[in-house]
Amino acid sequence: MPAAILADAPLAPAMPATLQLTLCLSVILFGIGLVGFLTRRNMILMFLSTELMFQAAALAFVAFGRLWMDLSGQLMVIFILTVAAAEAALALGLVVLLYRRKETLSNEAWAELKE
Amino acid sequence: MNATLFYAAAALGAVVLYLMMEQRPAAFRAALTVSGLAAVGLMLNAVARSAPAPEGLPSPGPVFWLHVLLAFVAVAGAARMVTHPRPVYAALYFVLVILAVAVNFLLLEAEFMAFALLIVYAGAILITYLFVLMLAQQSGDRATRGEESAWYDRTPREPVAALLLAFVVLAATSDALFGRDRGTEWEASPAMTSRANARAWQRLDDMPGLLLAQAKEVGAAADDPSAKDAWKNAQLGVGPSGKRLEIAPGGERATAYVRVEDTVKPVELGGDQAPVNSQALGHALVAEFPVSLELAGVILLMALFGAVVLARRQMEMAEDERRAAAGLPRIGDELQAGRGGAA
Repeated sequence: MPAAILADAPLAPAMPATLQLTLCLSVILFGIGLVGFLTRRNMILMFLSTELMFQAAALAFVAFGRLWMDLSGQLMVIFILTVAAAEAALALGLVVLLYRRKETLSNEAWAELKE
Repeated sequence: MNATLFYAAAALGAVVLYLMMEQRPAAFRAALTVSGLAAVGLMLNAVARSAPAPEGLPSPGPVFWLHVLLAFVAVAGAARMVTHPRPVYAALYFVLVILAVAVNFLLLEAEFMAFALLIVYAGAILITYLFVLMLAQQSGDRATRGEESAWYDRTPREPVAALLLAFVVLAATSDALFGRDRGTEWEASPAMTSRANARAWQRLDDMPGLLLAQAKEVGAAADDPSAKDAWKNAQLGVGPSGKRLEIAPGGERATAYVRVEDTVKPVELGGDQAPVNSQALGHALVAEFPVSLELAGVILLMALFGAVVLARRQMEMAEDERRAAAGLPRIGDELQAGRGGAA
């Protein structure tokens, strides 16, 4: 694999410490994304926080795929990207629709789910 | 021991995140940045120290420290993203997180995913977010009331409960991180390596065009220069065992059989001739997950339809308002009246 310039060696086991660092980063990012989703009142930023959680999951998938030297982890990331793109298109369309109605991005304007 | 240190550092990080949620003077912000980075460093330290260090694996080198640096960048960007009072800046800090994650993917030998992440996320999804943010938050918006951002961007909702919940989730999931403390086997066994190698060669065997090209290149370089023309017209042959590619024990090398002018010659292939990341990923996507690939296409198509439907409804609303302003009946009423007349 000539592309593996930065990696240790082609088809070689990775160093456990780097994998655990990556998993730790993934856990921290997921936690921060969760905090962002719960504390933000802006609907767009709530969706952005879920994207952060998607990133954390993708990082964990790639790290575990590297650990087992299997490509399934990276394939999962392709599907995560697909879902994230679909979600962004639909969610942002909805947010723009809601903003036109109430002229605010605060999610509390929609707390009662009726007009 | 390491787990206790990890949880203590996570608690410190939670406190820092809580304090970051309100506007602070510059000196206080600097102190917060330092203590936040210290918390992340302590967490990484606790996790890295619990990693097993088996014989024969390299000691921490530049790649390891690059991982540490990327973790700092990503966490700093993420913390700023969820706490910044101005949404556009929050979106730009998310780009920073994506950059760090993409470089992390490069280090984890996921080259294709690294660039796909940059193109799809930083290039497409984030631009959509920025468009919508700018569409919905023009300057002089009445929501901001002269302040630099709206009240709902400055005031966090239930920060203590959110941080407690995140801490619990972190504690529950970080259980998997402590390899040595829990006696988990993290190192790759020789059996795993040889299985991964065998899979890589199997992929090359599934791609005859690539196999022939690689074998021709290696074979022509090894043979004497006078046979160059003969190698140009070489075809895949069959070895003594009836296969065109034979994997050596351990999977480090494989032998391809190529027919050059009626003689079948063995060509030794090494790690450089195995499929690269994007080739292997493409093969695995089509060969191992064809149904998921189709489903992903369906999901994207449905999202496209959904977005079109939502956009159309917006146009109709605007049209209705214009008609109402001009004193005309709304489109929906007109349609209903027409239907009533037909019946």
